[in-house]
Amino acid sequence: MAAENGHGFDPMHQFEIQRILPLNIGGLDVSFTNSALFMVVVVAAVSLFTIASMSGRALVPGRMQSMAELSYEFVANMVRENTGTEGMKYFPFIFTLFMFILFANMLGMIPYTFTVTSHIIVTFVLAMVVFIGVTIIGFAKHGAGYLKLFVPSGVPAMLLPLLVVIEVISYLTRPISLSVRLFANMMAGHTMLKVFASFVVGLGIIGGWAPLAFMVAFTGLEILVAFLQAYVFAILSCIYLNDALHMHH
Amino acid sequence: MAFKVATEFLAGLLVGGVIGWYLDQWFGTRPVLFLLFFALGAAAGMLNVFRNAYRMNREMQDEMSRGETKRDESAGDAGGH
Repeated sequence: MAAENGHGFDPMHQFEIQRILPLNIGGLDVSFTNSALFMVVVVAAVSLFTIASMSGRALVPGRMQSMAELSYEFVANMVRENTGTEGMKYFPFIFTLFMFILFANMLGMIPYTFTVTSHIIVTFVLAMVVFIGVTIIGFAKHGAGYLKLFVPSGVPAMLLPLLVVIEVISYLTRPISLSVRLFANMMAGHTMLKVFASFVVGLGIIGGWAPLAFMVAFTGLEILVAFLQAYVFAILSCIYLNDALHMHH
Repeated sequence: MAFKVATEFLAGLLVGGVIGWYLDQWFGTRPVLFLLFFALGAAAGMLNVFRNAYRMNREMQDEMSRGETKRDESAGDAGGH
């Protein structure tokens, strides 16, 4: 809209997938894209953060070490509170999930980076891993008894078939709502940032200060959202895991 | 919060609709099962919304009662001294 200098302004351009290393295996496009690059960067950053900051193993932790310890304790408490001590077996998975999403969201806040979690396919696969994993754990732990999750107690037999279908649909919505929440938050936030940034440029040196002030505040909010969404994803995974482990209604 | 509720509900509609659509294709009963499962999906979405609300309510109450006992303890301390 505000672009008068030829190249149009497009707030969705930041989400474009670019092939960095075109690859084609058996008719499948498995190119190394900017999305894949940033996933590698995220994994490397998480590894660096946890391994390098813990390498000192000081009794009195320094700044980096206490950050790593804080994040460990934070996730460990979350898993213990929501799934009990039995759930601690799955702590490494939840911790990996949380750190991956957190770092993907946070690295996306740096200008010129790519936000991996702003693509629904990425968040959907993460949610599907949780969903399939939880279902397998449920069946492995309770056998066919896990199907009782779909049978609400204290319901007249007439209504039971209807309610079982509703319960099954409700169970199947888990990966959808889990993935859509993360993806939509990240995409909406980053689009808003781009749109308001274009207002700063469009209104110039005189009028641009108001949207600039808004941008500063909004960037702060986005950093909060980046953390909160990683937290929500992890805590919902814990809640689903708890359902599979303890199965009470 | 409102956004969370909206995604829960929409996910219900989506899953119900997709199941109905494919069952229709399978049995060749075009609009019937789609509509039925769309309605069931809406019900499932509502169920999810209610469960969320209950959970949030419980957590809030837990937190409030925890805060209250803390206050009681400190009050008891103050009274004891």
